[in-house]
Amino acid sequence: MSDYQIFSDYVPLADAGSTLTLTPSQTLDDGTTNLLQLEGASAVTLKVEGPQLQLTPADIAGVYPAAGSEESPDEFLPHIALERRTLPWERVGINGQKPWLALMLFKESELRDEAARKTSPAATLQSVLLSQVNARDAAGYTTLRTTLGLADNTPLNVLFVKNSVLVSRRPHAADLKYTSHMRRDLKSGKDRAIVVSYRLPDAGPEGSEPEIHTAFLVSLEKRDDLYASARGLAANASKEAVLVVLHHWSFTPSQGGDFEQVIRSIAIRPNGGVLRFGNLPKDAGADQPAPLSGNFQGLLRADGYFLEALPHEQPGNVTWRGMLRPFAPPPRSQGFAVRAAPEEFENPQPDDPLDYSHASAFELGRLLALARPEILEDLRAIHIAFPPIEPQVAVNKLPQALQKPDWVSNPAWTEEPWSMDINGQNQSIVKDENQFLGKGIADVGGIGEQVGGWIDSVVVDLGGMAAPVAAPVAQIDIGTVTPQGLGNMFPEVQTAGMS
Amino acid sequence: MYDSLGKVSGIEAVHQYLANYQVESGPDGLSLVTGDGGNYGADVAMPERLRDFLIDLRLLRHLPLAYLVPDAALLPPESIRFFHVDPTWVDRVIDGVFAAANTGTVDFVFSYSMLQMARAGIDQELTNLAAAQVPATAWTGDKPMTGMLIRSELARRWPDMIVRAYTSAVVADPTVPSVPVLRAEPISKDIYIALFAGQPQMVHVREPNVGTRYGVEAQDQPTATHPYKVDSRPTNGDTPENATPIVLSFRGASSLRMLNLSALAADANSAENSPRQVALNLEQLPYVQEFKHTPAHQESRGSKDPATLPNVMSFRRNRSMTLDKLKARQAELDEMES
Repeated sequence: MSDYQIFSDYVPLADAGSTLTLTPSQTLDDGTTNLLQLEGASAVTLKVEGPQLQLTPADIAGVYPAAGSEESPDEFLPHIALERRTLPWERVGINGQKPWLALMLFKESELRDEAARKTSPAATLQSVLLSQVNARDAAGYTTLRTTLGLADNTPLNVLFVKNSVLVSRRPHAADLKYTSHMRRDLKSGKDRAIVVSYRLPDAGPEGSEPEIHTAFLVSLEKRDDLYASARGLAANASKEAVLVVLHHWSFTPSQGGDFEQVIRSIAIRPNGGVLRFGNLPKDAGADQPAPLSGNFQGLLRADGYFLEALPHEQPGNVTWRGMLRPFAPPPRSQGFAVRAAPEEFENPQPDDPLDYSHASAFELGRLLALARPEILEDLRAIHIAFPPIEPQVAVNKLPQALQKPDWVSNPAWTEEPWSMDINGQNQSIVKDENQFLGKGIADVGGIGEQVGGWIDSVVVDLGGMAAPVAAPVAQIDIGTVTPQGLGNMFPEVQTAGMS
Repeated sequence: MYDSLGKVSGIEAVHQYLANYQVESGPDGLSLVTGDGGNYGADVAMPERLRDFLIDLRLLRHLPLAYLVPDAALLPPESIRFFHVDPTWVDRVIDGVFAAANTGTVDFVFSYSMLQMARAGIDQELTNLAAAQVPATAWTGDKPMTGMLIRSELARRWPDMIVRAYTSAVVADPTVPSVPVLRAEPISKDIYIALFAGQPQMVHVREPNVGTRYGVEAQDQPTATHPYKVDSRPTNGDTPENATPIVLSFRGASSLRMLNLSALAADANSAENSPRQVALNLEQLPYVQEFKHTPAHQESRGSKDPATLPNVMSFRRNRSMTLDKLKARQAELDEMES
């Protein structure tokens, strides 16, 4: 089921510009006597307004081809969609018939000579007062002034064309009614009037430069003078005719085919074909297997690597593939790359394939980020937001005087733990946890060495001290003991202490 | 007598955290890490701008064309190529982005967690993107993507063309796609890319919605005075495949290309002599090209030698195009190669 309807026309009950007189009548009586006393005018006069000499942007729903476009095939007719569904039938055109609007199409060469075309690419309208028309097209002026009743100071947007151009390119009077219709969009409920040009654009022969075309929405309101036989006389061929233009736009038609032609031609050589990535639009030789599929020649292997390596500067058996593959790749890696490790490529065996694919992807990501200061800023913001890893540090109950600032024996460990000289190589701590713990590198064994320096003297000193008391030790209850109780239990100690 | 001075130092705590992972150098020139660091840093929010950038990378945006198509022969003029996306390759690009902000070894610790969270977060964003298009899709962001590249004047002339994808080669309502299209846009003047969530069985490339258009079609055997035709449509607007053509005539000189609309309306094959019927007959509907991935649609049909084809290529609604120009160009190329 279509989602739109097309109507041949949508004629309003009253033409724009016409005057209507409404004469209401009302009565009120009791059966015999008129009880209503009417005052004021018995009739109301209305004038129906509607666009006549120009349109506002709000009047136009759209045009085709788009203004300034260069891609519309010359098999498509220009048209204009009007928001006012009755507009083409609101006034009377030629021969007392409707519609009164026509979409005329001109090529630039038909409107201006070559010298004029060099000064500006497309024809433009002239804004004049009606009185100024008289000198260039007296017949047209008479129609506008007398038949339409426009004042001399009425501003107009007009196009002057030679009679010879007009006569051969004006819409045939019998065709005019077929150029307008009303279209109803059933989804949106919108009604729009459509005016289609009767003339196809001309992109010219292949290889030539298509001309700019300009579509003019022209008022034919009572413009029978435009169809007068006098305009066709040879003597008047170079004289001008005035066209009142309500809207216009320019475009350049294309010599290319339409969408269907273009997309369906892709599968025909010498076009590139519709193929699996990596295939070439050439058949594999009769005695040659197709490297990928479809019996086509190809550039890639099934796993995405090039059959012949791309030019490269790295030595060795270098391979590379991009992110696009002809067939489904293996499952996604669960790993994360954290740093480049170019040392892995050093000193390879002659036959070792050096796969730079992921390394180049990693470097590409780095460069993409480095090229964007705002991304670097965001990355830094995340770093700051991450909480530091808290070491599990116990409360140190040693008095401050007994604490050593550092118990390690290798000062380098505290200074540059991330880059230590180990066995003549500069290595990172993240490579091996033993670097934290190995004695002589970054160990806590220094504690024993330092304590060993003074613990012996402490033992000797304590051992040399005389026993303060000789009495046996008695058990006391630490929870209930008092100074007086201790004195009673250990009088020798008390005496010795006080002596 | 006393507790130990410190169970671990700060740097050792970092190392203990690192022990959750296995760091190893791979054969591809990268140090890789796997494992699970728990929920460390789980409450850190990713800036929206960075998130969008990473999603774009997963959708192959910002990547130079040379990485997508490293050899011009992979995407010759007027061609369409279907491909699979290597997810690990793209993940490495994102890993590289985070590496750009590393200033030292300890930063790697943060990278591990960030990379884990970023990968999971972007996967979820892509899942949401797919579900927004096709709510019933089973595809999630950690699953494979496929896509198509178009290098053609299609991209230049119809950059707004519509790409739809389906899980089946036969669909009842083509306006309801069943495979989300994660990305469909031009990437240069004449190159267009589309990415699919999963591997569709059928792809539609539709002429864009440019509103209503009116026009004519070339005749199979055009003459100077009668080069064009239209198909007669019934008054209900249907578009029958076997419609009767109406040959068009011109008013005045044919070089002026002014259609004789009265003759079109009054043609015996026109369903009705009326302005609305003229509009129906002149109306040009959007074209939809189907690409199917079924055994019946063999890949070998993707590129045909014009010498093996009839001279006239038939289109919908009895339209056609001659292959003279393509044949001539192919013959020239063949001669040059030989």
